Amino acid sequence: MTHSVEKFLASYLPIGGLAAYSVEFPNAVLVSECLTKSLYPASTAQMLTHVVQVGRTLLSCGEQAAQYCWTFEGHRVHVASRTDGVCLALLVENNPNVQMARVQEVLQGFIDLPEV
Amino acid sequence: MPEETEKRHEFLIVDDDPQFLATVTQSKQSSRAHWAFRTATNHLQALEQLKAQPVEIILLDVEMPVMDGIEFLRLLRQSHPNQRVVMLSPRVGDEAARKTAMELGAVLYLEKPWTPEGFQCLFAALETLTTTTTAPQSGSGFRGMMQVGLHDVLQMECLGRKSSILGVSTGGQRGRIFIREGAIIHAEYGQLQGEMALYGLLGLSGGEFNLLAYAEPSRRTISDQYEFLLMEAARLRDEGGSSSSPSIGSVGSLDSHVALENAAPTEARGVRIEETLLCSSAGEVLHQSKCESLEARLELFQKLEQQMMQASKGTPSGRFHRVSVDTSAQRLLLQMQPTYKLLVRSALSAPTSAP
Repeated sequence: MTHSVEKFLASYLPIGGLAAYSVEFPNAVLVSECLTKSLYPASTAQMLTHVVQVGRTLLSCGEQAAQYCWTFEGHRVHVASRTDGVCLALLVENNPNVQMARVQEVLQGFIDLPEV
Repeated sequence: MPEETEKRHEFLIVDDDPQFLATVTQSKQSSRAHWAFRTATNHLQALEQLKAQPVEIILLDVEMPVMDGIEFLRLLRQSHPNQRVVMLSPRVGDEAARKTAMELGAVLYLEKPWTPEGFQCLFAALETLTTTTTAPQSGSGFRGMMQVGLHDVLQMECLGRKSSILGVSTGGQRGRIFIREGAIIHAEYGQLQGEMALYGLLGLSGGEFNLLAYAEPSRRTISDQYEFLLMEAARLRDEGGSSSSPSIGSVGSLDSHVALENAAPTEARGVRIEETLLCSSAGEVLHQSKCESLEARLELFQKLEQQMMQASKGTPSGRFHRVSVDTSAQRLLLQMQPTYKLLVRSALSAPTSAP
């Protein structure tokens, strides 16, 4: 993981309700962490990568910063997509105890990071 | 408790229509022992009245000549910052005015009543407001029943940052809206869940509701701010035809959602709906507006459903419900429900090309 991303994530984690996260370049996964024992790390990492990739296809008008929220029955995946194509995906539990304000902060903070 | 110890509630009604003032003050319902109404036909009279003696609540007409209700509310915020004001508008669908009034601190934004039923609702709302100022909140349990709009009850709960469940029943069907510390976090109505359930419930024109002690819902399905949700619901209801009574989970409640695309620009948020598509689970187009390629959109629904099924394979995340994409210029929302699929694309300012 790059130093700036590591430092950035360390300043926000832990976040209540955050079950997993990943940082993804357009062609490679920089880091993928599963924070709960109730999920399989491999399938969770695959899911995050898949969701990020599908998200990239939804916006076809050039690289632009965007936030995605994918809602599943039991989880939500929030994705912050930067103009340089780097994405941060956060898998959170789908319940009211999630610290949504913190999630929003980290997503916006990631988009605003000058360099990854 | 003896009646003489009951707190007296003073109201000031500000409206340029003397007939309306007379109707309120001479109403049987307003003549209860502990209520007193004073009147003013313009802002100058109102300020004089307030100078002479403060009141608990001001009922303020939005549409008045010289200085309208919104401008007067702005003035009141400076001169009487703690004054509670209930706005009365003949056009509750005017979302820009509603938003401005709420931002300026109005406690309620109600439809100006013209019928006995309307006045009954107004007085019930006032009764509740006066109760909430004088009675300490227990924080749990039954707090009362009111004959007012669901919209108003929700607004009061959210403004008060309360936690409760608003139970709704009508025609044998039931729904529930979960409010947690002033945020609407979940709604269920028949088979519907989330925002669609909320909009379905808020689109009802009649029924019964009750505030219940808060309990955690099984999951959170709503994350937008309550102001936005209530504005959207009001807009959908108005544009969907408020005279009808949509039934729970029926196409009626969806119809009101479809009205999105015919909506006038939501000035308050600077959002303009640019494309809408509603289709059945089988892919039959029920309604569409400004879709450049229906085929491409239907294919997108299908592809997304398959991709998300593939993505969540091997995880306990379950069925895919929806995705929203927000950029600085636009918002795209795709919902996949068992009975319908919905796409809404909106622009925040200038028209944008389809993503």
